[in-house]
Amino acid sequence: MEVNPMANFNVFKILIVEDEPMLAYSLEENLIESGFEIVDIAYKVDDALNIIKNTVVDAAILDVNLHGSSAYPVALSLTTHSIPFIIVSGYSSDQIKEEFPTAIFIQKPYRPNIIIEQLQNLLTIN
Amino acid sequence: MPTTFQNDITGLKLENDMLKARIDEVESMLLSVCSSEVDVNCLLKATDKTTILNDIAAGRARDYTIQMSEIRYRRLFEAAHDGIILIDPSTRKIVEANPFICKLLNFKREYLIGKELFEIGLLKDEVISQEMFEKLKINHEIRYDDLPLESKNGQLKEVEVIANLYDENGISIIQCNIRDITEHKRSEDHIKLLMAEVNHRAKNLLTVVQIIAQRTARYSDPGQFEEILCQRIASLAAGQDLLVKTEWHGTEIYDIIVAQLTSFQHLINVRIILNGPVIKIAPAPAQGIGMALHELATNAIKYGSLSNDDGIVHVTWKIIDNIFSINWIESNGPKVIIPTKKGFGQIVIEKLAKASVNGNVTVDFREDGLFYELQGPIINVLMNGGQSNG
Repeated sequence: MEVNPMANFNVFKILIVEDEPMLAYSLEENLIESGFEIVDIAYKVDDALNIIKNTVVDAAILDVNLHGSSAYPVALSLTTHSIPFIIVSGYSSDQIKEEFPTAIFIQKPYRPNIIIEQLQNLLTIN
Repeated sequence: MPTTFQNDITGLKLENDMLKARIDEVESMLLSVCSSEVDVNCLLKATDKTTILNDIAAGRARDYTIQMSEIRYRRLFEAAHDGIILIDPSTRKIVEANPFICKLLNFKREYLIGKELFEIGLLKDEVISQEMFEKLKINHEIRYDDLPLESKNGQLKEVEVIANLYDENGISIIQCNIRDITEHKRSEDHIKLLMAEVNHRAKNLLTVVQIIAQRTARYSDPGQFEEILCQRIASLAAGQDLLVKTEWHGTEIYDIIVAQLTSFQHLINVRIILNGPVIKIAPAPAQGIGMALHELATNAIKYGSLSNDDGIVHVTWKIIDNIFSINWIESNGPKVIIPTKKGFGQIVIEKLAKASVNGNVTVDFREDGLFYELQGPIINVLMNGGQSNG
């Protein structure tokens, strides 16, 4: 059983930025099961930027490559809005990793629990 | 002895013994100075034969050797597909340049002679330039694998440079061989890019397989886990094959459907009726549509209209008002029972298929069979958003 973060905290609102429907779906399902709330799933850079601007987001999970475009603008916007985020990627190294050296970086494929654990750490610190 | 050479000599009609003896002498001399028949023939054709023979006999073989050597090495110099520049190390100025480097730099030879390397777009960096001459003095050779070169029209090239310091009869000379590696570099960069892309796609696909395995384990009967998982992975592989075959430039919807129905080939156009125009689908929706079709077919053979002897499936697709739609409509099957619990297959045909086209899904368990429709704007579904095909 996964640790339920709701025991001590309010429901955290998570934004998923991921262009692969299967990955987005599984993240959503895993996060909901662990007691998080999914604000939205953004498949494109523009969608993500709109959601960040208009919605309350506690943390985000961000794929670095969205339909061939870099998710760099999304990372930048999240930083501007002081929203902590986790980067997931199939690439070994990339611009975002270089530009945001302190961001948490998880390589695909990953164990679902890794995301949950990292998200909990991130939200506890912040 | 080459026949043409013999003929040439015969042709001279030198008959007396003394001359014959001289010709023998000349023949062997000619052969000793020329390394091949080609050179002998070349020489004999180029100049008046009698003169050659007389000149050689008169002990002027060395001149011809030099002349031959000059012709041969000039030919190498002029025909080379590498740029060659000779530089006087004392003045650092160019003293000779071959046609290839003139073409590469887009400068006439006359312009290059007397110029320094930085003036012709090579070794613009003064430090590197000085370093080259210093190192050459010590090592007599220096090599740069990759230097930028700017030609007269501002075109940027990448070159490999090998410079050697030689002694020519007591005079030092630097020979620079310059190879244009622009194309080579470009293709190298392209390969690197492709490898990174393949790595990215492979990891994405592995993640998809991982999720399919987890969800299959969660949603299906343990006794059927292996079979269902293998079928789902085979379905993904069939889709992947199509993407690679079409180099991610779009896959025909017809091919996507047929690839997902390989176990039902004998039913196509008999009990599975396909109908729709030629449409090229972009890679991401192709994967979503393919997976949905696999789940629909699996469901039809287990519970739907392919599970009895007379059921029929109509698969139709069309574009109306910039909306792509594909329908899977079952009829004549056994009595439809609405599933009570949601399986992973249903998640695939509803949620995932919908997300892959950024559109809508209708799933209706009608009395005469399952009605399924997936719709999405062509900008999301078609290759290049439908700009270059339809």
